[in-house]
Amino acid sequence: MRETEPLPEILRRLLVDQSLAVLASTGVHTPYASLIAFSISDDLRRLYFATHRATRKAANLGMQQEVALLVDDRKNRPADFVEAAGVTIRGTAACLEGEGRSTASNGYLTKFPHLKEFLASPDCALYEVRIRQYLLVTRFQQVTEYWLEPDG
Amino acid sequence: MIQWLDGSAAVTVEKFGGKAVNLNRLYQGGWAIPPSLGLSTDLYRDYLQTTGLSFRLQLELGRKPLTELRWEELWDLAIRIRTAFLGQPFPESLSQQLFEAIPKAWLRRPLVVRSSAPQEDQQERSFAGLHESRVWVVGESAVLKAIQAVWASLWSERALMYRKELDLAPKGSRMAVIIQPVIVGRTSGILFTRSPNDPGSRTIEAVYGPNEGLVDGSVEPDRWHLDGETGEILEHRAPSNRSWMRTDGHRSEVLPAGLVGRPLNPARLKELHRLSCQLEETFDGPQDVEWTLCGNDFILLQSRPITTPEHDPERSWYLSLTPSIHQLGVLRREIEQQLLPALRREANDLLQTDIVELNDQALLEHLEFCRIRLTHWEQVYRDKLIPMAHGIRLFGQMYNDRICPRDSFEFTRILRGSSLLALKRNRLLAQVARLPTSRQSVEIERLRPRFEALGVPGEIALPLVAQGPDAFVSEAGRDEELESRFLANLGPEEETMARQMIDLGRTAWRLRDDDNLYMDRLREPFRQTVREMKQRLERNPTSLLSGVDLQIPQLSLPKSQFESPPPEPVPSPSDWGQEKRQLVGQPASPGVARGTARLIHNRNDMSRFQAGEVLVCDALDPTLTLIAPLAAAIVERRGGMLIHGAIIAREYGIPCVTGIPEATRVIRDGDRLTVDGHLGIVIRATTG
Repeated sequence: MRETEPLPEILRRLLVDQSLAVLASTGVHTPYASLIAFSISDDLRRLYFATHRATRKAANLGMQQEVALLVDDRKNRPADFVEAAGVTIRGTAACLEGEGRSTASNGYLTKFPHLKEFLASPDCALYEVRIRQYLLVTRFQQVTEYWLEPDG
Repeated sequence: MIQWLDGSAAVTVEKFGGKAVNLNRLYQGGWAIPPSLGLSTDLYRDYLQTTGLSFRLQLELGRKPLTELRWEELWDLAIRIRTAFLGQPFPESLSQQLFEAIPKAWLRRPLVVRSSAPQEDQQERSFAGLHESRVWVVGESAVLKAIQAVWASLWSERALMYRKELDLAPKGSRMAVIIQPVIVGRTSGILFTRSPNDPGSRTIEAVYGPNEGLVDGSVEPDRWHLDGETGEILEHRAPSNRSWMRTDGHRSEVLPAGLVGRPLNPARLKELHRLSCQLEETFDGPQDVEWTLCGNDFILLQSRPITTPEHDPERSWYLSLTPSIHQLGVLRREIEQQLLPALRREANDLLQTDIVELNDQALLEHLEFCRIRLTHWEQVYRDKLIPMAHGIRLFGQMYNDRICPRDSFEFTRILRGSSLLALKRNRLLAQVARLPTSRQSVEIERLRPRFEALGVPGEIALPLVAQGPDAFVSEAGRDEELESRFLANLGPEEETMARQMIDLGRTAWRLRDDDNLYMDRLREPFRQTVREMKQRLERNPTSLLSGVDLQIPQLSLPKSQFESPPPEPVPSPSDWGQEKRQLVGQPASPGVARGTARLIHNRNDMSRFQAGEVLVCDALDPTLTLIAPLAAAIVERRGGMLIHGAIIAREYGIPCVTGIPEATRVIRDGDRLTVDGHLGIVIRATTG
């Protein structure tokens, strides 16, 4: 991403306003998709989500940290084909511990105060996705890529 | 959003609730009512939105279909919601509006904060007593807490039982509040303008001082029946012991000087008769009116229609499970001093009979006698022992109201460690497990009478102790520090009250376990007799013992509409596989554990249980609690924090999830499970 070019408002809006994203992780040779509640850092470089350590997605992330996520604003109406926007996020997920977790928890709970008990369970893991790339899709087929880091 | 109920502006049921509308009508009709400030349902709505509680409510209520909740689970749900309400800081924008409207002088005197839900106090159904009112509320922070408690009571377990009729759903739920100064006359009471059981007469109940004790059942009133037409006194019943509720909220049997005899004289009764006629005309139907007599004037505190009580034994029984502190004290004495000793005696007497010596006819008669006695005690269990569990709830509510903990059941750490019989029994077992293997069987034989008195057949004990002393988890013990912190938070009078509540709560906690063991002991002679009969039938299938009902009587609780059978699994196409991966129940004891599932259906399965496994069962009966200290975690179909399994799990600090209707159907022996007792979920490991 060239720093001089401002990010489109729709990208920020999707990441801030939407609550849920589809997370794609990789199991043993198989892809796996699941719904998660996410929050985003102010600089849009980090994404956070929580899950129980015993879930399949947590097991997948233990084996393969590379993930993709989809966030969109479709409403299941015909107009979605032109009006809905979606963003695919690619990055690396890591389970947060200690102080890092505690700082990230505060931001996450600001967006989801009702998940306080869930996050407090000792078996609940909080993940941070270091975002490498955004692929923004608008008007059905208009796709723009934004690179935050070079592809590893 | 906030307005006086003085007839100056329109007060609608939708915005201010039925109670507020009725008070407004009383005022307009010229009757004396306390000055009353109404807080509309908009304030409740704004509170939910500003605090984010509406999301929390949806999460709590969406965990499980309400139709699948047992009555204990409804209470757990209600207490979690209440803690969530009380734990929220009151948004400043809303409290500011509130204190601009409340007269400054009111904040220095005791107030009453009443619920006024739009669905209550209607002509069709009154829903009396579903929601909470707080009396003797003094000061700003107490007023805010009281409002939160009243709002939370929209989701009380009683209200949840009537959720269909109340149209209770997180979206669109509404609750208004009324704030009044407390007015205490010399005498207070309730006037039923038509007696519930005899529409031709009126009923008047009266006590000295405030009427809180009368309303909560701890103060027995003088009661009169008047002729509905003439007002003539048909009957007067004096209480067995005339007491009163002091203005500090404590019941006392010492009446203030000058208050003697009946609290109302015939002239006052005539006045109440005339009042009845006027009120029935104004409200176009019979009313149930709370009043207090100040000087020469009856001040009407609230008026609601008398509606025909529905005949629903199930709800009536559930609603009766909430005795007052005073009633619980009486009940406790009866249970400890009379009932449990009698139950123990009866079980021992029945076990004295040498059934092998009885001929077939005598054996049949013995079985029938055991059945009759068991049925009798099951009824006592239902009517006396189950209501005692409310002692746990009362302390829990007091603790949560004061501390607002994150874990709604933190208070149980103060109650546990109360020397439950099951724990004493398990300690004995662990003691034998510490002996060399060669001495264990001899020791078990020596201790057999003690084990059997505590409900452990010798053949079950041996394989358990053989697993060694390390297999037994030690008890979590009482959290003395938490108790000290809680008590340090209270003033001297509150501390005395709290200590009484803790004592009562611990007794209820202990009895919740012990009574199960005693009841199981009473079942033993029945089981022994059945075993003997089966042996005789094998030898002689055509004897007069053939065709006899050998089923042990089960505790018959009213059939619960709240506890529907678990939903049948939706059949998949025959070539599809189907697996339940994550099961949601109720968090019953905190902690997280992983282990291999072991399904225990009855006592015959117990010898298969290995230390460190997850115990999965339908209901943890008294015998099954033997293996609890060996378990990494407990998963139970029945739900609720007050069920036996949950209490035992908390005593050992073992994670426990209850209320998974399909637990024993879906989980299989050998499944790798993660049991999260904080969140109330069980995750089955799968591959791929």
